[in-house]
Amino acid sequence: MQNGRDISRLPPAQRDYGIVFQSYALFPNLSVEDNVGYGLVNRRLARGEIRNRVAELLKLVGLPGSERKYPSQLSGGQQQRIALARALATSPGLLLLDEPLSALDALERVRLRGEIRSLQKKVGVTTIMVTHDQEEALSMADRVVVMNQGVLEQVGTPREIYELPASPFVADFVGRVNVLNAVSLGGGRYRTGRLDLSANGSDCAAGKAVRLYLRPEDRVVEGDLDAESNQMRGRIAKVEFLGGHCLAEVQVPELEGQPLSVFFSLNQVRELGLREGGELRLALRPDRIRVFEK
Amino acid sequence: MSAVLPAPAAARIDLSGLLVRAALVASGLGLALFLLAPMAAIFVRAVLDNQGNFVGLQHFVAYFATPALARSVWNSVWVSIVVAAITVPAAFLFAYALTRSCMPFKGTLRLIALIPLLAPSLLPAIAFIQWFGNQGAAKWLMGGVSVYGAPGIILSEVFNSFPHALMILIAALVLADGRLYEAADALGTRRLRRFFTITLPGCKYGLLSAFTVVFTYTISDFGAPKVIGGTFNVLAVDVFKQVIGQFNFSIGAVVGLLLLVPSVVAFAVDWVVRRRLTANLGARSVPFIPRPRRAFDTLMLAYCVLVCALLLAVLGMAVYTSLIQLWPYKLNFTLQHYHYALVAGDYAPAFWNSLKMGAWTALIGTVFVFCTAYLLEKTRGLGPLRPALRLLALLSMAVPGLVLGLGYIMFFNHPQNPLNSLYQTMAILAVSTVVHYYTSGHLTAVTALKALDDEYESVSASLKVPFYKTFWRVTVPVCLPAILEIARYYFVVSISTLSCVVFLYAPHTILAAVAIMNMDEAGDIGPAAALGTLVVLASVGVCLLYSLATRLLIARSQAWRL
Repeated sequence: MQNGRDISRLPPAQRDYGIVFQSYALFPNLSVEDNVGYGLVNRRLARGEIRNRVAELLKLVGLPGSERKYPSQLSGGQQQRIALARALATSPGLLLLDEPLSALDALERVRLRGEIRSLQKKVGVTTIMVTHDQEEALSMADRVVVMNQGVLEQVGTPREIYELPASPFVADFVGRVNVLNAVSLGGGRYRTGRLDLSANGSDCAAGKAVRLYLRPEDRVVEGDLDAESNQMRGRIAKVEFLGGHCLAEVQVPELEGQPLSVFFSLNQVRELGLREGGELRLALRPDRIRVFEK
Repeated sequence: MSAVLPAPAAARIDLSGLLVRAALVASGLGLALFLLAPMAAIFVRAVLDNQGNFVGLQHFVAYFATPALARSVWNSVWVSIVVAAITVPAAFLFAYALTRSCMPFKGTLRLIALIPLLAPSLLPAIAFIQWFGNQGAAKWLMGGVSVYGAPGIILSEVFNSFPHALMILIAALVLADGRLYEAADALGTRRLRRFFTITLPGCKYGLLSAFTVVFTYTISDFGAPKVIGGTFNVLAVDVFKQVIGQFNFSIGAVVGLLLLVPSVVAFAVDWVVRRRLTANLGARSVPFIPRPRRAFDTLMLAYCVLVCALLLAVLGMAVYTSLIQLWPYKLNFTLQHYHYALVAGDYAPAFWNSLKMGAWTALIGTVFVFCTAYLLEKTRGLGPLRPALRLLALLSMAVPGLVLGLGYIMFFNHPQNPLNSLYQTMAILAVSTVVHYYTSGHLTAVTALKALDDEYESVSASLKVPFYKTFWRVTVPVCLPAILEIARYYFVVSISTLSCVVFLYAPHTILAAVAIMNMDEAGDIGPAAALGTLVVLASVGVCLLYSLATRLLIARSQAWRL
């Protein structure tokens, strides 16, 4: 629905949208000015009007004065912004971005992420961006739609998607997650291996086979652990260094071969003296465990 | 997003969609009318008698019961095999020298080796008569064997088909993975073993393809055996004799269908080979770069120079014949044959007609081929029609020109055909040539179009720019080199083509190749050679014009072509 009109069956030319592709699809034989003005020429605007609009758009995307250049003379990120300007030129009611950043290198991608977001806020156009990069989706979107093989899995704000995944697929797909096989004991208690864990807010009939999903950062390792529920003790099998933080694989004997991945900041690693082969005491946060029936 | 979507009707079609569909249907109808219908006419004609009654396979039985006719099947087959057996190894060695040695003058040698493409297929036959015929300059070389008949046909067809085989084999040899050779060297493999275990298997499909192409070319060529064949009957000349000489259309249709068999087999082989070829070389392959080796390079250069000298000797004899008064009696230099061929003789309009026909073919053919390829590659809608159109575009290659021409008379000369008025016009000559040489142009266009981003059309739809504007502003300018290449190809093949048009010309639309054939038959060998030389010159001129145009174009568009 667009302005009360169902556009799903209309031919593309009758829908009101602008699109930016992964490959940019800039016309190689036309200058930047002709590319950006491509949709305007068709609207019977005066030449001067088109030139003003193109200049305005180029300023908007941060490339003023590049009218006379050809696409092949621009860098990937610059071409991306020209494609964006071209899509915005006709002031469409909807902007589609089809994996716009996946052809760029990692640094350029992160920089353009912010630029596209602020540009979109400035123009105020409803924008749908398709991406395979979960981090990109979480950092840019107001609302995230997770799709799996054409089927809608969950719609929500980035935080909802991350903290309250609606299905195992979403929990798995967005961010890292620990999965524990368990059996429900009723009343929000679950037995996994030789441990009984509680998960607040869950309700599952006793005897049901379930999976417990838990993010690596949803654990308590500091302060007074005795007051916490879901306590356990394990051995650090290995520590993966990821820059600002580390991911430790913890073997807990009571979990019977199900390793736990746990995040630590670099400071925590230092303060707690974590090292491979060392002992660790931790508690899993009962309010963060998500329960899905098998 | 609404919770309940209304039951969707069939997708609505806008004006652009309608236009695409109409254009596609028009292309399909064009190919059906000018390729399928004439072929169907031959099939029908082969089982009808001259009064139009159904007689089953009676004509086939009659054909094979006539010993003289049945013998020409065997003659055609063995001559074609011999030609392929000579041409393919010779061209392979030449291609090997061009791609795997460090000999100098590669560009020039390659250019000379491709010269036979520019000459009508009759011209080498005339040249070989001058060299080895009854009064030939080098008759002693033949050791008493008459050049008229199989020897002459074989010599002429080797000359004609050499560049066809060469192009295929160069393409096959270029596709070598340098890593394989490095691995072989690292394992201490000897050169000969390397050749037999890597090089030869790597281009076996190319060799197979070259063999079938040469075989089909020879068996369906009509010009050379007509001039130098003497009493040695082959299928292609039989068709001509039956139809033009005896007005026996039914037997003509039977022979035409026989000629179709090897072509269709070759087409099938080529189809399979092409699919394998693309899988042969991955994106990670490293191109093979030859290293200089003095003895080998010298040997290769000597061979290539020898081949080029032989090719030039054939062409040179034709040019020489056109410039002297009468071999071997009056060897004085004269331009009278040119005067006769262009101004004074009965066939004076032929050369100009050929130029005109070449221009029309280049124009109609290029526009039709490129637009059809664009519709097939870059638009949507009419799904079921598309594979059929693609097949037709490739199928034209499988129909020998003589058979296509025969189909045209049977179909368009039919009194009840509303298109009857096309018969005996310049238009039908141009259209038949467009259809006959369709496949090559189509493949060039498709390759160029595939290199373009598929999303241009989606982008312009989102900007509400109709597809034809984007076609004109973006697709055509970007593909201009390919478009010029198609036009050049069409012009060059159409001014020297004989087999397709020999049934279709009228006195006022006579073409150069036909005129050469008729003048040769009348014994006017000087003017025939002169006209042939003019055709070669015109082709060379167009090729020069083409390379100049592309060079200018690339210079002008250098701003965006980086």
